[in-house]
Amino acid sequence: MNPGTCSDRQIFMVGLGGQGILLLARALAVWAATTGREVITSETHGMAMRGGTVTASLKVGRYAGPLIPPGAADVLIGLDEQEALTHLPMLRQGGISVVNAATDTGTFSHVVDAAGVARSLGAPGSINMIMLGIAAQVLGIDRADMEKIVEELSPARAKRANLKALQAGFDCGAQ
Amino acid sequence: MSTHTRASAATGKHGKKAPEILLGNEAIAHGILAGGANVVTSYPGTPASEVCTTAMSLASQRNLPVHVEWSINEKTAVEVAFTNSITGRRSAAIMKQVGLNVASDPVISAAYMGVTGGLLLVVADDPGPHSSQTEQDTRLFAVHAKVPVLDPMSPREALEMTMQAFEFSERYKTPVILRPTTRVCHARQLVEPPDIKPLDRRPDFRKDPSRWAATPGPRLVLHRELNAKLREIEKHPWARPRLVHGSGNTDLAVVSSGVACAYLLDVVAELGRRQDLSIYKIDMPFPLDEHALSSLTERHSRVLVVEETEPVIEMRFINRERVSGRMDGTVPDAGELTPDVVARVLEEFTGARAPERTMVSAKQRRPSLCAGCSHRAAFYAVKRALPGGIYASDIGCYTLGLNLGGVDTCLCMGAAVSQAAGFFHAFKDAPAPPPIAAIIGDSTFFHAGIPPTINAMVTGARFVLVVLDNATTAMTGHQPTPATGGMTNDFSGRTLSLEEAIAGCGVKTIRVHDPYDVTGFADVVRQAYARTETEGVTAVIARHPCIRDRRVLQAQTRYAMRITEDCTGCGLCVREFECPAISVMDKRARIDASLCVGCGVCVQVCPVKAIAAEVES
Ligand code: SF4
Ligand code: SF4
Repeated sequence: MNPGTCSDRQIFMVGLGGQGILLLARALAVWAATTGREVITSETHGMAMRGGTVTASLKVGRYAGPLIPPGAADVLIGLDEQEALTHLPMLRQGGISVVNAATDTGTFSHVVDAAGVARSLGAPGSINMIMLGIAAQVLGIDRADMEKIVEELSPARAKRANLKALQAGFDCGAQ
Repeated sequence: MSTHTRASAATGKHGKKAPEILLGNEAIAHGILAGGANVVTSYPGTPASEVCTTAMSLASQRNLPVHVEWSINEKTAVEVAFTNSITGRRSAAIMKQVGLNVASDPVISAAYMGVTGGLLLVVADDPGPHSSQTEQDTRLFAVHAKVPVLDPMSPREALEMTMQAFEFSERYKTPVILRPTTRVCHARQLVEPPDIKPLDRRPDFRKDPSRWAATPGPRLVLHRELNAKLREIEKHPWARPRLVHGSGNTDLAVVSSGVACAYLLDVVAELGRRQDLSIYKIDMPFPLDEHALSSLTERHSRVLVVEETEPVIEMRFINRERVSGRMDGTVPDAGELTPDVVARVLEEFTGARAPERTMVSAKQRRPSLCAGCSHRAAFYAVKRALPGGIYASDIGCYTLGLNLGGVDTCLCMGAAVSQAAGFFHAFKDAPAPPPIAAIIGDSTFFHAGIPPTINAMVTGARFVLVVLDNATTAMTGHQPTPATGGMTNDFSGRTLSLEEAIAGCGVKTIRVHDPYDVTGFADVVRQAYARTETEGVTAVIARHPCIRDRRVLQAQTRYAMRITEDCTGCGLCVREFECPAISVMDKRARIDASLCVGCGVCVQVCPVKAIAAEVES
């Protein structure tokens, strides 16, 4: 999905309320828009944000509606293993799944213990930015571009911590 | 959250601005200000809240001569906005669909009177429902109120319609409703933000009592005038089906509106842009050009109608023999029209197979009150203080108190108070009447809790009113309340404390206590309840700021929590208290350190004192 060569893509993201999935989704959307393609996203707001299931969709290319039908996502990003498992049918045959899980059970194509990385950073709330770094790495997104986007999107007091977590994500995605 | 990141660095100084990725609600806010609104009013409610938030921050950042306010409720919001619009200036009032019920009285009357300056009502629907008590369709309400309604399918279309709505409203001298649904409000899309140049219009109120203060006689004249306006509006292009796919000469046709139309276009594209199908979109489902709509059944042998949530367009076909949709069961009669539902419906209609889909199980994690939320402590303490009681509650984050058995009813905004009164009258002559509590949030109390409190006081009801005061409208994204101040973009106006408001309702006993002190709070509730015998309604304010605000968490003592050997695994802390950080496994409670915020409240819950807390340095 490099700029210029990227075709229509649908990215589905899932996690729990409070994990910060909306910032991750927004950063990817802003990045997608820089490739010059049409972008439409969908977010969960309201009651579910209190610890319930939170999903976000990003559709890049000639799409009219904001939701991704089941079995049509090219990429699934899961901030929570259980939620990723529940929503695995969203992924198309041969789609890529990037999931935060402690152990690799072979269900997903890319598994990273983002929670563990977050703990080692002393920032348990930074799973979203770590997963963004990992996903960006997997999707071939330029590191400097994404850093710039996260910097712009983050509120002043969270800038440094978000960037640090993003970089940690890029680093473990590279392995 | 009010700054929008440019999608591209290139931004022309003059002329067109670079496109930005805007949330549907942000796009609508831009449209309202670019459309020249001088007054913007709203009461927060998902999925509409971000419209006013965005308008307020744009107005203050750019120092616009616009009055933006969080009104106390939707009825007031509409009345303030409408009145600005009868002085020739432009206004917008924003709410969610159930908020329109609260505002229905002024809206229906305003339709008769009409406006001289543009009046846009943004009413967000919530098919699903995701964050609402009903799936009601504002388009159907618009038919009842005789107000034109626009149905955008995307943030971009919502922006265009918003900007055009003001001129439309002035041309026909009528209020206009924009009805986005959750999936439009909470979608992001690349849009070109329009230039915002406030309209410099002097207020001009022409006194005309036969219109602005009409008694029943002149109302009949106004009703006839309204009907004539609607017949005129039916000639507008928005009132006719617009071909968005296919040739218009096919056997099969689909008529749709709103986001369902977007899904149809996606499904058709996935199926290889089927040329044997024509798709029409209706931009304005009311008033409709019924003849243009019905002519579709002459041009096509079968017509499918796909719309959310009620068959508002479908009902209008003069002859429905060739029409299928909600009314004949082709489209499910409840629930959101998601892309897979639309695909299935289309498959049934065309006989062609849709791509194979595995369904995602509906199993979703239930939301709960945050770890460390003071509402949990308050609910737990009320249960302790009034065992076997009836807890009438209300709408907000705190409705989640039902997870721990602290919420028995939740009807609509403000009903905690009136339902408590209803329960009192139902049980007062019963052999052992249960204790009754009304548990309501601060913002909800100001919105619709004051009249029922006065009502209860003057009609002899007896219960304890517990107001959960976390100094914010937390559910919808932390809007201000009358007690916090900051209800407008220019910070004008004074504040009104809950104590003042409750005392003004005639309540004598008003106690304030921090629910983090569970035992103390339960005592206060017990004492207040004892006084209901002589005083009728007594009040306890549970005061503790919302811990979603990081500064609140930083300011309060943080404890390191530990479960000791004494734990019997009884599970009371999970069942009765339900902090998401606590779970019981293998007959032993455990606290998930990544979720626990160290509030220390659970210490007071364990019957064998197996939860230990140590102040963290
Ligand atoms: S911590 Fe206390 S309340 Fe919770 S399971 Fe153990 S004994 Fe029961
Ligand atoms: S201290 Fe107890 S009640 Fe507070 S967040 Fe932690 S587990 Fe929940």
